[in-house]
Amino acid sequence: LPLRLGLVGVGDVAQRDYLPELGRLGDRVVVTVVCSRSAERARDVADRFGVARWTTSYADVVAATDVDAVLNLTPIQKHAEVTLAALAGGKHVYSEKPVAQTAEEVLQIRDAAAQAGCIVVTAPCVLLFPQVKRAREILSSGSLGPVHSARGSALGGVPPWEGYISDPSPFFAVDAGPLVDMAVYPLHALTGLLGSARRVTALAQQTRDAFRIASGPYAGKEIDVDTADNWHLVLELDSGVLASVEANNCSAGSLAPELEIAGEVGTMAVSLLDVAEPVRVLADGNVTEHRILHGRASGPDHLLGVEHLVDCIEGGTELTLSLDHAHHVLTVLEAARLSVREGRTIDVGVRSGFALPTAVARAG
Amino acid sequence: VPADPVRLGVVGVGALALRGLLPHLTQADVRERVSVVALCDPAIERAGAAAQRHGIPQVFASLEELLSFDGLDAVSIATPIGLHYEHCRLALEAGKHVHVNKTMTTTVAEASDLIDLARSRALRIVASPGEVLRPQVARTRELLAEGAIGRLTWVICGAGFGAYHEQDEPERSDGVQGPPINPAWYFRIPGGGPMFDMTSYSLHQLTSILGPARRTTGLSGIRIQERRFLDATIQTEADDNTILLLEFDDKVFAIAYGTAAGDHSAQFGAGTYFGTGGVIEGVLLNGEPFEYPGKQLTDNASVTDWDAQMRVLPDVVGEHRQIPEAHVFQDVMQLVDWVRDGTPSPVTAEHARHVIDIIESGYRAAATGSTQELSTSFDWAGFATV
Repeated sequence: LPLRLGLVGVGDVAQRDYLPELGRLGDRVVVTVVCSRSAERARDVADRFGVARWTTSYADVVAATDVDAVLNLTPIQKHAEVTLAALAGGKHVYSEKPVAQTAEEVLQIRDAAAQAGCIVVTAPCVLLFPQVKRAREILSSGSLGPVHSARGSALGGVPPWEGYISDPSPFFAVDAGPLVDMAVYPLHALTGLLGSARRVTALAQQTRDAFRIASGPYAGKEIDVDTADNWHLVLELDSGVLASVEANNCSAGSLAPELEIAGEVGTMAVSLLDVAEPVRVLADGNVTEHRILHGRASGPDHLLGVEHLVDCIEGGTELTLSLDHAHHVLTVLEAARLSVREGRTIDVGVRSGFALPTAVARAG
Repeated sequence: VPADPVRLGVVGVGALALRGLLPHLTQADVRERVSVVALCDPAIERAGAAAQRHGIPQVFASLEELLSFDGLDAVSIATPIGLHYEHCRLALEAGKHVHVNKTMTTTVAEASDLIDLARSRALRIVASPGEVLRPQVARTRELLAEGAIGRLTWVICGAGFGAYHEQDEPERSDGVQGPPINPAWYFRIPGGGPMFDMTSYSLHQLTSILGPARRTTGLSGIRIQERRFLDATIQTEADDNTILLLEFDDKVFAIAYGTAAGDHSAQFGAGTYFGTGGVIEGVLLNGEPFEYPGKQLTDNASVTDWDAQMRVLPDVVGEHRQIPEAHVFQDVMQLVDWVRDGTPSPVTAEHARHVIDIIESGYRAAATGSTQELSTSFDWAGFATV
């Protein structure tokens, strides 16, 4: 029987990265209901993607008897609330990132999931991107030599992007911004590949107070910016690797790879936003591209996270997009904020329990 | 205006690619004719490390991925023999010219399918081993035609497996990124056994000299049940001890063997041709070395130095003389030149199919106890028998 999905939040990301891609899971899933605060949007999405039922209340979805799992694609500020409600309703959950706004909330979700006997898969699923899996293999092979340094970046990427149809205000609210929306990509990749962070220091600034939306349904609307939008983090990992992470919303873009891991023998560049990009390895003055054929032509492939949920529910697959890992990343985000506020390096403190990949032992 | 270099992908980064194909094909002197642009192997650590070492810009984990890459004209298939057909077919379907290392397929039906497919797509197949290119082989044919040993009566050729793959190929474990390169497939079905792996050379040489065979019969079985590779035991599943009897025109007979161990001649893989007036054994005519173009290149080497004998080839110059598997490199260059200037290679797929016919029919003869008529032939220049 297919896993019956209820989608809560069917905005731009749902319509761009999830609904059109679900067909790749074939008859393993079926969407039984979509939910949006806007009746107009819910009905429109249900019509266009052939979903039988729509609703404006997520309480309907989490209580529905024809839903096995909830895809939580709501704005950042609603993630924890909807996930906890879904777990209370006995539903498995896939949550967009960040799974919560604080590390403490992640622990609540973890307890609730354990109590409900349900699985929670957390975005970003960057560790399942084909080129990141390849990067892990390259790292495990030892061909980069000892790794001491890495850098990640996420420049731009916060809405509104070209063709965006929703109100982007939630992304610019207090404690939102590029740190939670975008830095999570390099942070999940870095800590997933090289292990957890033990110390964090950061500088951040806010480059603007407001901006006006240029096009789309909200054209002309002024959006208040209530969060820092230019972040630079430096991390010391348990493995001894020093890493930096940059996340901002004040650049035109970047020519640098989103992730670069430098070893004594080879340096590896990995895209975290485009599955069509090969892994590039520089060694002995030669650049070798590892190209990986993938089911989605280009861009990020968030569907891999949903597939992971289905795999885990069907059994036989170890949960890798874990709450433990998400908790660690949120701990790092909180440490970065604290570092900016207090102007000092922060000990991340309690280690999260997420499994360290074997590569780390070799890399360190 | 010289044509652009052929953009080549190497499929399978195993012992042969590491030891021979990649070092040869990335030498400066062939850069204007061929450019290795991509490697493909599911063992990506190994492939990635090899790409770095040889400055090859692209690495793929699967053939499908490699073939979806635009910047490729041709591939060299260096995968286990049992996978050649599937890999060759995929490459042809993707519009690539193909070089196949060693035996092209394991059945005539598969070989015919590839030949038809290549013809329908105007693609080239070069299926090594290209014994026909070797001056010693051409000269042997001439000597027979000139009556140097009188009237030819019979021939023996073949090779013994020994423990070459599991013990004598250091590339399988020394300095290999990731797991060692397991030779288990050489002992498994399909594609395993010394006939496809080694006797294939002898049969190409034999049929280059005598032309197509007509009938075969033989005996075949497993002599060594287990092989050891590093700490692992490999069970033998494919026959490792096979002796075939071949009939050519005018009642010339040949024995072609692929045994678990043991060669009839100190000149590895060489045939011994018996006639009413003498014997040709490898590069010896009645015990004395005979002349052939390029012989001076081997003058400091023993006649039993098989590698030295295999280096007398037109493109094997300079650095190439120091690199193993020069004959495989020459086979690839046949395809490269054919693709670039349209001159067909004398190393034909039809010839490769005939050798496959001998092996397949020989196994069938051994299994059924009945002599098998060979169904295939190939264009052969021939010589006037005395």
